[in-house]
Amino acid sequence: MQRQERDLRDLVFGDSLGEIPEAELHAISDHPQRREELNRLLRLRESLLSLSEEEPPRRIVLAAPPEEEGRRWWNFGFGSPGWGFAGACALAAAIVFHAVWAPAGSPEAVQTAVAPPVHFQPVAASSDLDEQKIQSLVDARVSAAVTKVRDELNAAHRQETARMVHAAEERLRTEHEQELLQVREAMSYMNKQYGRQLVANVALATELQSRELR
Amino acid sequence: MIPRVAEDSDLVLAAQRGDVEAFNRLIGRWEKRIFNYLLRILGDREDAMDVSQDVFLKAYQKIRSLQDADRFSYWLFRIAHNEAFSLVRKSKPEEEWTGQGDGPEWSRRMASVEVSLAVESALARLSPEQREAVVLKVCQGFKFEEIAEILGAPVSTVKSRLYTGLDVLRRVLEPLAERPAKER
Repeated sequence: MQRQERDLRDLVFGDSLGEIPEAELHAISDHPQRREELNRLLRLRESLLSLSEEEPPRRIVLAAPPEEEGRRWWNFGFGSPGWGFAGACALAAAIVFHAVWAPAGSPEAVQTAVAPPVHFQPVAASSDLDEQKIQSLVDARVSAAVTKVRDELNAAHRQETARMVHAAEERLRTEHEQELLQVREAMSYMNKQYGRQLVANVALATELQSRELR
Repeated sequence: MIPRVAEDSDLVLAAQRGDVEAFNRLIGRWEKRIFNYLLRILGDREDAMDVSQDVFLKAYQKIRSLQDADRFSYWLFRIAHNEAFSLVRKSKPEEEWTGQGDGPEWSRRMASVEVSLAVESALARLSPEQREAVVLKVCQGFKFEEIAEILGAPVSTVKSRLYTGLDVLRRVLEPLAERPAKER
């Protein structure tokens, strides 16, 4: 019975990648041409597998925080490198707001906001008093908002700095390891070259000696 | 073929929930393979590094669109394939990639021994598509169906590219393999 011959490339480079069944090996070894072809393919496979993998020259680290739909506005302002500018804008707006709206007696107004006086005022004076109260409340809220934003910015800044330091340390460590690896590989290469040189020298010396003896 | 599927899928799920550290761990696991794949395709370390970064950035941006976390590796290689060939098309729109073996990038890797240099030089003679098929099959160890998924091409096309590429490699490498024996 004539069995259909398998493509040897499938045997050597197929999904089993070089795991050739015993029976197929026996069948191939009976045919000199196919045996030679198989040997060539195996040599080619060996050569291709000798390619060493290189370390990437730099490490990749993702720094951006996760983008969540509901937080995009926050990321745009404060989560990105531009947060410093946005923070400064918020602070400036708060100062301008405060300067425009705060009357001369604003310290008292703030105090009123903290502990508002509870007593009856004549109707004629109530308009001024309401304005003063509103002003003090606005001042207190702006001040609280500015403090909150400043604290959050500081926290984000600290976190970002820590992350950058960590990334830099990691990169340095990796570079150091890579340099060590390169030195090791260079040493190995030099040793091989030295070995070859030695073998050649011995062969030459033997040849010379035999000539002298003759 | 891919021994860390379970762990990778856990990390993928965590990254999909917005865990950046999980994604950074995935990068740590895959960056060397992706870099080497790109290096073989592009033949330039800086290009390979730049494209690697783009690949992982794109992967992070699209990670939520990945339906099956177990298929992360093929999905990642698919992104790498698209990015690499986008660069190849941009830089060499009409030319065939031949005769790159004498380029400085291919010859200056001091760590490689002669065989590796010869193989790299021979690989550079293949077209990018053939080279990619050889790299994915032999160096990265993917199965034909997996490569077909990465390339978005039928298995028959993958096999054809691989075998044509191997024939070219044989023609280039065999005289080199026989030379030392003759010289001896």
